[in-house]
Amino acid sequence: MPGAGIPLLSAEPEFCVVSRRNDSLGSRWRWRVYASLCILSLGLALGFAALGAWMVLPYSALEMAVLYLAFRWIERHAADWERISVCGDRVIVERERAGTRTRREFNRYWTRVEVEEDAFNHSSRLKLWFAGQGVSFGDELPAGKRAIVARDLRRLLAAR
Amino acid sequence: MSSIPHDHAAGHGVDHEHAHHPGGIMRWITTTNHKDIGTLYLWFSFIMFLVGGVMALAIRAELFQPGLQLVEPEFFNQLNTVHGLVMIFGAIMPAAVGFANWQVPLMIGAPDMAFARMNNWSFWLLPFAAVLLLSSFIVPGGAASAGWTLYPPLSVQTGMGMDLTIFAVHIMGASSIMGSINIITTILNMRAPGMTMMKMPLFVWTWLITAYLLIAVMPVLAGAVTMLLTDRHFGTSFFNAAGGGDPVLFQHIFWFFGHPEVYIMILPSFGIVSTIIPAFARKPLFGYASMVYATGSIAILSFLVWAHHMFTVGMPAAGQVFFMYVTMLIAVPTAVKVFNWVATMWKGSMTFETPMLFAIGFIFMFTVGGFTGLVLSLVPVDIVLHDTYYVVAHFHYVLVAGSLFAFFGGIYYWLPKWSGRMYDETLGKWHFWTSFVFFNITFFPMHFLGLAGMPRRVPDYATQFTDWNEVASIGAFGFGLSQLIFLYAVLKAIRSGPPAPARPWEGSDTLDIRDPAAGELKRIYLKRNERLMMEHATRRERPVPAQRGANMRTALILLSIAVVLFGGVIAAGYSGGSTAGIGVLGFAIIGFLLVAILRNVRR
Ligand code: HEM
Ligand SMILES: [Cu+2]
Repeated sequence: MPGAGIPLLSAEPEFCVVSRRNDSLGSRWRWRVYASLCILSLGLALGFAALGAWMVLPYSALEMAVLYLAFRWIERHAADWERISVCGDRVIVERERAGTRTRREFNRYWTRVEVEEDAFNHSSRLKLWFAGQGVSFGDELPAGKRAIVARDLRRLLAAR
Repeated sequence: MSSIPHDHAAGHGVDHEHAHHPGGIMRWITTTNHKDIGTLYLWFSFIMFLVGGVMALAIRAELFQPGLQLVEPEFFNQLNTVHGLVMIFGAIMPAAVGFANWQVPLMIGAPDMAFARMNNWSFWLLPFAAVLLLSSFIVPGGAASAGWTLYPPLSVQTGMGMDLTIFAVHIMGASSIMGSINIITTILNMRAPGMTMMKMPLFVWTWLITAYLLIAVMPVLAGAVTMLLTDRHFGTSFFNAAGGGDPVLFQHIFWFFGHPEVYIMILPSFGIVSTIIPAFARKPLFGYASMVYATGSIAILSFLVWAHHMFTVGMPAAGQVFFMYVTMLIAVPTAVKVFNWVATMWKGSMTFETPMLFAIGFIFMFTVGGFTGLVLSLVPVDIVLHDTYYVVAHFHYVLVAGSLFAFFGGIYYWLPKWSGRMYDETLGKWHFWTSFVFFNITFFPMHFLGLAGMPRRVPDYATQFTDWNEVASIGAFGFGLSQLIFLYAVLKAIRSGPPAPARPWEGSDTLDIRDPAAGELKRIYLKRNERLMMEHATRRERPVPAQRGANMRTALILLSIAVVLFGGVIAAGYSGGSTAGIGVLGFAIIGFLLVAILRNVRR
């Protein structure tokens, strides 16, 4: 559900795109997977420790700690979203990252859309520029979709 | 392997567009893009493949005739050991991770890997590890010579090359762990809407299970080699019989890692073959669900069979029987896979382009290797064949004609997609057929040698083994040369291959190739290649601001780490491998890893 947890817009937008990671596993299964890895890895390590080879244990513990950090990061960012909308003469970029929400408004007609494209990297980044300030949007979109969003936005912002 | 032509193509006449990106080598050092990193992994593994290959040729040259001709026996043992380590940890495993980097995000519809910066680090650990491992040849006492299995007592007694090897194994292990954490989190959490687990392409499934195995067993390896290290330098006696330790304990620990490890090396290849066969048979994969379950059961069983490598150490008969039957059990899910591939081809409308040739070659020869594995799993037979050339034949059939052939197939299959350019089919076919023929000339006779009793890991042998050794050596040189065809075919494709269509293989049905958005993107890049610039005007108006600061910082950190690391190596070398020197080196490496980890958890 791409719209879940995102506040409604106050006005009917002309254009609106939400970009967010698809949290395809969900919190509960995420921690179940983590638990299963913990049981397996630490279980093995404890078994070896019982045989006298205790030096597996610190590595296993370290690994599970790193894995925990990775899973926690994913968990904290699972609900992140970004939304770009064009309403009247405004372009609004809102985002939530790890629970903190930010919102930027730009003047529609003074905003420039740029695709920072990296041929070397086969990657692209969509950026909005307003009065020397840049803000990126849509890193979580598939690259093809990002190109389409850029094209549509450019068309909209150019129309006066 | 693909990005080079873009760089060249974009490098001329459109310079302004590059001003804001670090050019040349810095680009590769700082990249966090999964495709770039995949490319790095694949080139790295190919280079290591050549390095390990040269060692293999030296080994085969020495074995061309009985007696000692070319190398000292000590050096022969070092070559043997480092060949194994380089091929396993430097060539096969990184290649598999390279494929995962390229394909997993594309196949599940994710924008990139879950931890892009950690991805960069897990790659850049590898060249350090490789240098550490290879530099062991020039330290006093030479490289490790205990065989890639690093069994004590040899590994507790030999010179400091062993310490460097142990550290290299640590670093490569850290790299694998970071890589698998990335892969597992990406696959689980970043699938596109609608990409449910049971819709994932089989390559993604096999890598998910591989990553799981890696996370489970890498600490076991790290612990095992650390205990070797402390036995060597810090007075412990885990394995050192002189101090009351148990060398057989090492074998148990090593193979507890080692057998899952062999599946770590083959499962991604199963995934690649399962992608290629349906594409060229123009039929969906037969028995998808059974493939997934077979992969899962192989993974589970792989934890229960480790002692089939140790039938001769003197274990209770009940233990032998247990490990014998469980090992034979693995043949069942393995056979399910082989049958499914064959059933996929059954009544398909097949064509035989290079990827398909490699996939079919894989099925044939992996099956041969599976059967010899089955032979070796029989305790009474293994007691005769253990540590003979029969075992060498077995694992080269599964690893070279298995894993490696699947990787070759995968490269030919995806290269058009990756680089936007088509390889030369004639060259590809030459590469396949020469590899196929020479591989069999090299390794099939080793079955005879093993059955006749020729031991493995020896620089000299009894004269009755001469004929087949000569054949094997000739085959080995042929096989080595064949790989130059591969290098040429790939370089030619990415430099000057004709543009590939958006969907290079009409039968392919995975998201990476089918997705219309991805197709559109590909066209954009193709145009770039032909120097038609997209959005030309916009970009000229406002150059995107530089990100130099961040890149310089990364470069500085990398540089200082390199200095510390090599300082450590030199300190250890000067002190003649003493405890203090090894300690310094150990700390340097731990610091290195800590920085790597810290840089990645804060974000
Ligand atoms: C059908 C499945 C398989 C069976 C039943 C099997 C069985 C065995 C057995 C019993 C041995 C011990 C031989 C000895 O040292 O006396 C062995 C060795 C080995 N196998 Fe397999 N194997 C199978 C598949 C594989 C696969 C898929 C790989 C890797 C891709 C592999 C790689 C190896 C390696 C590297 C060794 C030698 C290790 C060493 O001593 O250096 N095997 N196998
Ligand atoms: Cu095994």
